[in-house]
Amino acid sequence: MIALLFLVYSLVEWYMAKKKTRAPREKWTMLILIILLSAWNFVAVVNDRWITPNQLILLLFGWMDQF
Amino acid sequence: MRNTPWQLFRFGFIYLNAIPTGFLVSPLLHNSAYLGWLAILGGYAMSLFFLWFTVRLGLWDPQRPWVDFGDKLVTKWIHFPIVALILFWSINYAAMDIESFTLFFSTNYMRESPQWMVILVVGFVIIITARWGLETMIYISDGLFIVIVVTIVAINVFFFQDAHSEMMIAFIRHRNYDSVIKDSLFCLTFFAEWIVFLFLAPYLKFDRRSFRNLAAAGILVVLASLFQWATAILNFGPYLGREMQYPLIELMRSASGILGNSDPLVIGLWSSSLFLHSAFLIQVGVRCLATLLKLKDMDGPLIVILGGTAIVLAYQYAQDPIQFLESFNSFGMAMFFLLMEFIPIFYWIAAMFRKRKRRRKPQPNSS
Repeated sequence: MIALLFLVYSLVEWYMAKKKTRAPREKWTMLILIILLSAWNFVAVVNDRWITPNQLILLLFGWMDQF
Repeated sequence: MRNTPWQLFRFGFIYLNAIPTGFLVSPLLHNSAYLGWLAILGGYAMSLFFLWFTVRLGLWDPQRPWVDFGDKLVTKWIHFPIVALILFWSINYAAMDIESFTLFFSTNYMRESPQWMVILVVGFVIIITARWGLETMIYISDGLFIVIVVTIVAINVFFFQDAHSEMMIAFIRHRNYDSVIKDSLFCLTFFAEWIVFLFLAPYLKFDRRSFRNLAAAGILVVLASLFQWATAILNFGPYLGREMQYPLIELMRSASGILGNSDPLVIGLWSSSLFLHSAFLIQVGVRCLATLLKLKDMDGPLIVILGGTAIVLAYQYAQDPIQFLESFNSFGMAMFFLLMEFIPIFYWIAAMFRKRKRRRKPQPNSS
């Protein structure tokens, strides 16, 4: 639900921004980015085991906790 | 934008003060106990080393933010992965801010409300603040500065009266220096977030006074942290104090007199600085992503989608608060933050080589 809310909100913002910009590349890049990040967010909300940045950081730096 | 003297100092203080005020006292009571003052001062002293390199890097081109000129120093192949790393760090840090605030607020005030609701409300406030833009955020920090300083002074003076000052002798008698070294590094990660100020150009440009301004902001944050830590340890002692997640809040809620039950006022002020902290981090993330994807007119949707991602990350952290707090206070996480703070040093070294190259160029004309 949270992911969908921000998908809608960002699409509204994208719609307003696309009227101001003349570069078509920017419009499509932004739209693809919104869809990709919303998909990631959706899976993160639905799946409890989806990786978080903190888990990734501790995977790389967690061994330092023994000091 | 209308610039006034010490504007960078005020913004620096509001940004840097947000996290230590809320979340530094409890870990210090737990590890360094009576020697927390040494850890705070040690952390600040080390942070000045990082600040010097950050200011030198900012002076390389004061008219533009570092994210725009960094590729001239280290090539795009190195600059873009570093910008992506800062994007990752800033959005995750904003998510950690949101979840930390939500945990604090849910455990103290809105116990019956679901966490996702608090996360959503806090997240929206942060997105709207970020949407106002950097210029407005700098003006907000100008206004907040004096109110927050006066509140910090008033609270510490008020609670110091009831403190057990006879415990102060333990500040110099204790010898657990191993914990102090580790906690100094922990404090360093709180105080040395200088890299974000490289994103303030062209609104606030770096000049020869920038080191003074940011170092002074750091001193004020250190003083505030020292007083808050001393207030907590002298009122509760290290053993009872470490059992509390938010010792200062417990003090405020149990107090009577002028500042009795003043916690809503103080938390209102602290949360406004925390929201500014998170909103600025979202702005940093937006600048990074706009540079990576070469987007010039898409700030609005970028703020919303990155802010939304931070909120979803906070929601993920809310599923397991114990694991979140363990990660937040872990040494590994502190070392990741420290890695980010080394970035200006890396660029400064590259800038040294660039300067030498630029000086050598005019020589062939002399023949």
